[in-house]
Amino acid sequence: MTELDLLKKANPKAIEQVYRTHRNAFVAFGYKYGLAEDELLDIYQDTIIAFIENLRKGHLDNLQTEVKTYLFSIGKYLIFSRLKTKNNLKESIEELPETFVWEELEDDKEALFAEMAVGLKQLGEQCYKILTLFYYEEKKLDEIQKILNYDQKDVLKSQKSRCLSHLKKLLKK
Amino acid sequence: MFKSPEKTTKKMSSDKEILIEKYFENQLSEEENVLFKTYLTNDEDFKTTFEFEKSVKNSIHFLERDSLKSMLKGFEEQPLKKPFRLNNWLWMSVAAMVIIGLFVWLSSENQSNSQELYLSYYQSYPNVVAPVVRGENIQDEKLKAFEAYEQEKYQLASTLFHQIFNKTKEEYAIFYESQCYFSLGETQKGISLIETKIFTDEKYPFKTQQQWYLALGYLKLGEIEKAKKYLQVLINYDNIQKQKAEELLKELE
Repeated sequence: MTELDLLKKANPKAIEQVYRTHRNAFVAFGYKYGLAEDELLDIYQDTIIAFIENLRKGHLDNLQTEVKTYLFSIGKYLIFSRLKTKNNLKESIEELPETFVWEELEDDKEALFAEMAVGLKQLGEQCYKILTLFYYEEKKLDEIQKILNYDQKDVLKSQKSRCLSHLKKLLKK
Repeated sequence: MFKSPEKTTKKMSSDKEILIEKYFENQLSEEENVLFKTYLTNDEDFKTTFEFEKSVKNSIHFLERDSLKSMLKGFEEQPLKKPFRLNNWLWMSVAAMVIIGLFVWLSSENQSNSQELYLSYYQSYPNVVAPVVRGENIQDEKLKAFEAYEQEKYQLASTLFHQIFNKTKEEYAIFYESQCYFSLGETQKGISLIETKIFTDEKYPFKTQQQWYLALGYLKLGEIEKAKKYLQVLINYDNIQKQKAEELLKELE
């Protein structure tokens, strides 16, 4: 399995390796934008998160660039976004690489997400797997059926609905 | 009899469910998209169901990102305990130990296993074709390939050499592509690539090196007889690997 395959599976060892490999170079690269190390590390971590997320969603299946180059271009975008918020700039200065998708979650809804996250964690492993594959990795039900070895798509579909109603009940409590 | 309103709100029709499902699968056609938007504004149940699933989606994003963030922060709090590029370090230290070991024991020890021998004799073949000068002609595919090769980015280098070979059929490209596989530990792949290839270019000693690396490759795979066959060829004529081939053959006998 290649490094990218392992990262796609969110393998912790592979993530640690990629994180440590490019960390110092990234901080050195970021200094010139006048940000402190703490802040740069925060951005670097978000960069890795965005990278892994896009790998898992299958957006980078045809990645031709080297990981480092790719990380740095995402990082640069996130540095500029940070500077934009800090300095109240209007125009966007950097663009994300093609096929890359990164949507910030709304800050003011964090409490809400966190609350639901508690419910999600109580659902049990199978439900969490199904919901994560569908809503996070954005796989189609046909793909999930194969990944999780369901004989029939309908069985998977009703399992998914059960998971959702279970979650609703948990949240009402 | 009329259905009670409560009953109708409880279960959404399955075509509406499919519409929502398709939305999340990114599969809505233009027509369905219009329908989707209509329901969203006019159908309260539809809206509630959709909003709920959307918040599930957001919450999972929150959860996944948050747990990865904690993991990454953890790396900061826990500085490296062991040399991180374990594979490389392990590889190098094993190689170093074996080489030192061989110097000490070579004369008295006859039994060496093929893996150790491989490690002590194997060295990736240097770039003798296109000396890489930084900053010059970086567009040049050949230079890019050798730059990657010299930086030990063998995965990338193998791809580049492969492309070059497909385009130009130049011998050096296939030779170095196979070298990349040897370095990546994909020995069988490296062997297959050059085993039947006939190298004719006199400018470079690929013909000799081909036999040498095939011998080492088979040694790595534990196919001693095949390794010996190639070594036999090498000791029968004057070439740059002759002495090493004799040494290695002696080790194997």
